Amino acid sequence: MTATTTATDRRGRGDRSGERRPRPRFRGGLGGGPAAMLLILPVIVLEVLVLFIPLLYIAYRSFFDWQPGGESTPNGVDNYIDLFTQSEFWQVVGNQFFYLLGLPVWVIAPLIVSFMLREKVAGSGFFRSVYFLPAVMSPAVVALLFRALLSADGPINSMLRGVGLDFLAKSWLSDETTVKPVIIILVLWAGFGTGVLIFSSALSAVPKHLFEAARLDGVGFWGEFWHIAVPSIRNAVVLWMIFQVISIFLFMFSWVYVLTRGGPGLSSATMDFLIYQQFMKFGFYGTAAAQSVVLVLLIITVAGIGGLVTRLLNGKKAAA
Amino acid sequence: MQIRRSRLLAGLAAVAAATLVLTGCAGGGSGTKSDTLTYTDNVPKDKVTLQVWSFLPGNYEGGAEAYDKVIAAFNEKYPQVTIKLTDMPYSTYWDQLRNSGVSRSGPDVVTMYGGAQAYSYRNSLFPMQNAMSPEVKKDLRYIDENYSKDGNLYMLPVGAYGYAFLVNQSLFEKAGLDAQKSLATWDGMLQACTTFKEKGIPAIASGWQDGIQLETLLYMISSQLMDTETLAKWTKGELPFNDPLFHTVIDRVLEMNKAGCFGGEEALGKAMYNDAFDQFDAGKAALSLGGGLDRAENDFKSIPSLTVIPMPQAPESKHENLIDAGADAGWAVTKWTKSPEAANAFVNFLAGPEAQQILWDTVHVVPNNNGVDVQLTTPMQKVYIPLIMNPENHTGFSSFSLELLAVVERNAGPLISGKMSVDQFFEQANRAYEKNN
Repeated sequence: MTATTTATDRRGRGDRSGERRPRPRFRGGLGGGPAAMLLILPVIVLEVLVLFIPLLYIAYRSFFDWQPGGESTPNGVDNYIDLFTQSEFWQVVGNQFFYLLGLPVWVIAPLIVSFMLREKVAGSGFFRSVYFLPAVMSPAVVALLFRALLSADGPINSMLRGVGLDFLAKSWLSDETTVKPVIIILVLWAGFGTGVLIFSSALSAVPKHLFEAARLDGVGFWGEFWHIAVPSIRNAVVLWMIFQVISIFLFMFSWVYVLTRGGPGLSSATMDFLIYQQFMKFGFYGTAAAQSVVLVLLIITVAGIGGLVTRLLNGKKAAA
Repeated sequence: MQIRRSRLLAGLAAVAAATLVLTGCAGGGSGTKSDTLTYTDNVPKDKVTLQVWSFLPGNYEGGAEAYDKVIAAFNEKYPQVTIKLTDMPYSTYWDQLRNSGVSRSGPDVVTMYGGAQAYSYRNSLFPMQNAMSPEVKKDLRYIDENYSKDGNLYMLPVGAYGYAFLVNQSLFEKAGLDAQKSLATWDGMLQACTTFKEKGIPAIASGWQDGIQLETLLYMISSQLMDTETLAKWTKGELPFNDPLFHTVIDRVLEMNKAGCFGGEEALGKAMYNDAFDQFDAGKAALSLGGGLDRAENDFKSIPSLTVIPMPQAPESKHENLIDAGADAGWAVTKWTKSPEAANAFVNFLAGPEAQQILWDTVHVVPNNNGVDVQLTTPMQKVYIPLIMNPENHTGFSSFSLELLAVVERNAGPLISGKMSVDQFFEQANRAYEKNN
């Protein structure tokens, strides 16, 4: 009797873990019934109207010599052939993948900092706010600021010259060898705070006793980081990686437009910048449509690979 | 199984519906309406408001007031037409115009360049060749070279520019040179560049990062190399960009670079073209490529020894004293305007002598209408205007397509610094040219 009472007390009054309540069945499609369907219908309609129909329309137009307001004649896959035979297009695709080289830095840097801030570090809230500040600033404004800082006679080069590091002073944004790495660093700077925020919130859900136990076993900082923190927030890390990869394909325009206009030459141009040029500047609407389709397919492929990686990781976790 | 089949059918129905929607949209976007605009003196008496988009008023100090005067003068003739002029920044102007063209709505009258640029907006603009009033047609200069390759004139050219050297004579003296003598011949110019280089004075204020400087030199030298027939071929799209003429132009630019005209390796690719203006204004370079009287007037305030001298003729030039000169810009009527007659009347008025006289008198916009009385009063007007008005002048500027210019712009720095070969440059440029032709 005593043992039973103790067990009940330990579970608490509200604990009804002995009962098996049916879980909502939203998995496996629209299993929630008509009510659920009704609830998500507005979103589906909106998505179809705002996203899918325009996308289909663009895909359809990519098979035309598209002339809005004029006569658009079907030209089969000419726009695609034109695109794939342009060395400029492949150069820009190459740039896009070069930017992906920044991925490890974009992921690991905020991960380490959020891990360092997880404990009651003095002023951790302040640091989080400071780190997050660039995320609430317009990329166009930030890019303008950095354009001034990084100009040939700008403060950064002046500072380098001032401390005797003349050999490091460069035309950062007009030198083909430095422009892409500089953009990678700027993207890190801009996205860093968001990463810290996401990882901090994920880490706060990891039970502290895991770290405490590890510490008692003599595990060091890096041991805790690699063997406890990272595996515990694996999903958040993968999500952030996918988000960063998609951002590289979709949200680089303002950086490139303000900082370099794609230059020098096309050495910093991205696909969205090229689409803008083809459509807005040159009026090659069909080519721009074809390029948009290719970009969407690339993003779907990359997101698909990301999803596959997540599944594999989750599968391994379940097996373990 | 039944559920799966019904979902499949529903999916197919959705795809079919989407296809129908798309086909419907396609039909709507493929207008084949015959769009012509013919000149008429009879503007309907009904009240009408015209939306006008331009970046020109902002180009001149007091430009907005000057255009208000032009509108007031127009309203004396056509009181039923209300003009709402929106002065827009150049940096976003063309994007907004493109959006307007795609949505088939927006302004009735717009500022437009001729030739290839207008052709790129051809689905938005009325051809104007039959819409000019006889008086305007009689006195307006630079009409022929603003035709597009499809044989249409999509804008009426208004105003005039002319590319020449703005010369800081003090720096020439400092280098022991006589500006007039040095710039009389091509070799003299190269020799002067070398002398400036030896003396540590930048010869031509330069900014290669955005490529506009190469574009400008391309206009200046190619105009010299084109006779009237060649220019006509270029305007019609019958002169390919891989013609030896353009190779010669690039060779001459590289020759200037080799002679030290643009500063040393250090200076290349660092600055934007507009930064070069500041360099010249600050008295740090002997020469600057100048296109407009307004800039010369402004620079004269800070450089008292300023004068304007034509770029010497290249050895292959077909002319004696030509400078690259043409229309400053132009005006066009959009196809979606609800009152083509009123819009056309306004464009003709802008190109006519009365409006151009107002603009010359108030903000010194150089006219391209022979009916304007041009009194030269300031030192810069006295040296520059005769150069711009030289009847030998012409330009192939309008016929450089936007994509070709983009190739020129983005490859200017690499070409000048030797990171890109001439062959690579022409390979890309020809591809852009052929895409447009």
